[in-house]
Amino acid sequence: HHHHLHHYSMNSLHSLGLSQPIEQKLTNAGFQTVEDFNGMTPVQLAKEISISNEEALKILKIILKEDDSHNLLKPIDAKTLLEQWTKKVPIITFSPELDEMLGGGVMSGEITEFCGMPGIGKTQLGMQLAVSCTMPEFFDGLGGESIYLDTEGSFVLERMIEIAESTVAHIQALEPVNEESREEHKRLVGEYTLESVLSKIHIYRIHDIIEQSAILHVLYDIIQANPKIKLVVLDSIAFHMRHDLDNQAKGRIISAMSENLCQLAQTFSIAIVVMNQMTTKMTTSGGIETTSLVPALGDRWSPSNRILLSWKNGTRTAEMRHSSSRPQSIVSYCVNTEGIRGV
Amino acid sequence: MSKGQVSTRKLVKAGLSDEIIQKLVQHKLTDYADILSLTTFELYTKLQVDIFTVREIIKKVSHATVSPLQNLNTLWEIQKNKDYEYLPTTLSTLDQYLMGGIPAASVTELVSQSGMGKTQFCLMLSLLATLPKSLKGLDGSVIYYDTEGSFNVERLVQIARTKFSDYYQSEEHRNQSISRIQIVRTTKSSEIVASLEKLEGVIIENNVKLIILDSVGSMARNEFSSENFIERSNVLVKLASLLKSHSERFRIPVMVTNQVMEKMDPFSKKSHITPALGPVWAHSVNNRLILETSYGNKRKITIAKSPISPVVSFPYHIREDGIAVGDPDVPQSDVEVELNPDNYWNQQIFAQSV
Repeated sequence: HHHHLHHYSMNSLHSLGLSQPIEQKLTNAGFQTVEDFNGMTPVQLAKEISISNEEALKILKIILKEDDSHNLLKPIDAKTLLEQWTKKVPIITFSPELDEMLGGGVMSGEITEFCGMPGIGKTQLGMQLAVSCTMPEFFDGLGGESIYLDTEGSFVLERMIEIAESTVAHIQALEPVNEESREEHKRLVGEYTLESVLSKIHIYRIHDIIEQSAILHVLYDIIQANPKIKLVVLDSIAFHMRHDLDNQAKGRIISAMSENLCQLAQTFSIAIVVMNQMTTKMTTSGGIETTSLVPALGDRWSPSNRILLSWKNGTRTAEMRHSSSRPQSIVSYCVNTEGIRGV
Repeated sequence: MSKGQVSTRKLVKAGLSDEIIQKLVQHKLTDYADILSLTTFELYTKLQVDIFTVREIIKKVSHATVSPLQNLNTLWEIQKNKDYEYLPTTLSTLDQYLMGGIPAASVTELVSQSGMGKTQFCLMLSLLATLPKSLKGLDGSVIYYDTEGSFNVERLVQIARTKFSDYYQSEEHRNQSISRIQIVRTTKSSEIVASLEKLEGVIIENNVKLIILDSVGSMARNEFSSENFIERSNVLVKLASLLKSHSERFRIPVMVTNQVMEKMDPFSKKSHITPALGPVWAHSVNNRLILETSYGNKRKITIAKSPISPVVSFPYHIREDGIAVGDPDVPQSDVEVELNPDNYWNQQIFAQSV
């Protein structure tokens, strides 16, 4: 991208409202057109016409008509970050223990991974989150829309409807907090129907790794065009990864996907939830070869939050394996006809 | 267009400029998959254009590759007007938990040790698929891949005669049903893959409503030794992908049978029975049903993986007319359903003592 430079005559320089001494100094130094300022840094200009750095910067900003730093990374101060973080509304799972472990729920601007063996309920969790995302802000939801990326064909509409209906029933059972909010409460409850929930969830069936790559590239435009989208669920990320690729090729694909997803999460401040499967890993320790189950995709894939789902002593458990902000912990939850719930 | 000339239709459709298309053709990148399987850097090096143009190309090709997202409300409207999205099995408890029967548009795996009734289950389903809608069938044909030579015509006819005695009184009905079941005998995965790749025409012409593969477990284990783990994984993934593709495109159920293997816990040194083919295959199927032993000589079916059913087990037995739910010694109305049996979660199947 190039700056759009405008051709100024000396008269125009005058019309910029620069002080007389400055104007004089510029003229004396031979500055006539805007092109003469090309490549000039504030320090250089300051030296050349003997003014302060601050004044030189001001001049350059005026002449170049744009803030030169628009192409550069803009830092954000920690206070603003904190304000943004406390304002973040989590997407709840409906299991109070699981939500607490996640810091309230699944967070925007981050990638949260749920991994586990087939049948443990990853898709169930994905579907519940897609519905939770649509709950109005008035009821502590995000009031947003969700995109569900199905790579395995495990998405079943009837089950999604079941979960959506239960969430609608949950909202309908809520009591108004006070008299003032009663009107709005009733109105929003009336609007939160099964049809409205379903209309806020978009599904895409990914059939192979190429399509997966393509949809991730296209998601940027889709989300930019629809700012209501607050959650993307990728169920599951490793399914289409080919097993015969060498580690280098695999690594490149994983890095590209990871970069894509990170960029989406941060640029649009949305929550990205990724389901992952387990794969067998051979390790030799003390001369004995053992196989263990580890999350697929290896070390190149490192989400902000990794939660391992498993079955222990008759209940489903979720273990926070690693997180950029949450401590390690383990909780129980359950899956029933309503969706995900606490024990 | 002369023979041997490369088609640029797809590239033109993606909205790429002639100049870019020329460069892509030069490097034999004429399909979207060719382009998207390369990294940004690889494309940049090959095409000798600037990085912004490379990103543009990837964007345009990606847009051309994907179809629009589907909104669930619209999908619901479409599916409301459709026919059966499942094959009722006549096993009432099973149909109840699966919300109708063996689901269409997904791959269902049936796992068990030998002698538990897998093939009979498949024979029964084959018959059911050919029955008219008035009898809760799918009024269509069946493609039955038989890798062990276990398809038994006599048993099929016996089930037909006893289970639907009225309907199959008529010889015409009998012949129609049986001629609709196409058996493909093979032991090689490559042959099955080749057959599946070309199956669309067959499915359309013959109104195929059910595909069965009996058994993927024995075929894979006979064909690949334990060293060829990667090769085996690739074939299994390819098979699952083709089966899913047909099941989704034509909205028909697909049933695949699998056997069991012994797995040893490295810590306790105890071994247990678990479905064969490992986690790669386990992730590939959408639904998993297990036929296993229960107390004494009794048997039970476990719905071990299903997006719509919890993990449940209930008794079954084999009789003249095929598989039936319940304990033969207990009245039909008392089918005992067990919720969330622990053993499944340890990947363990109840086995007959050896």
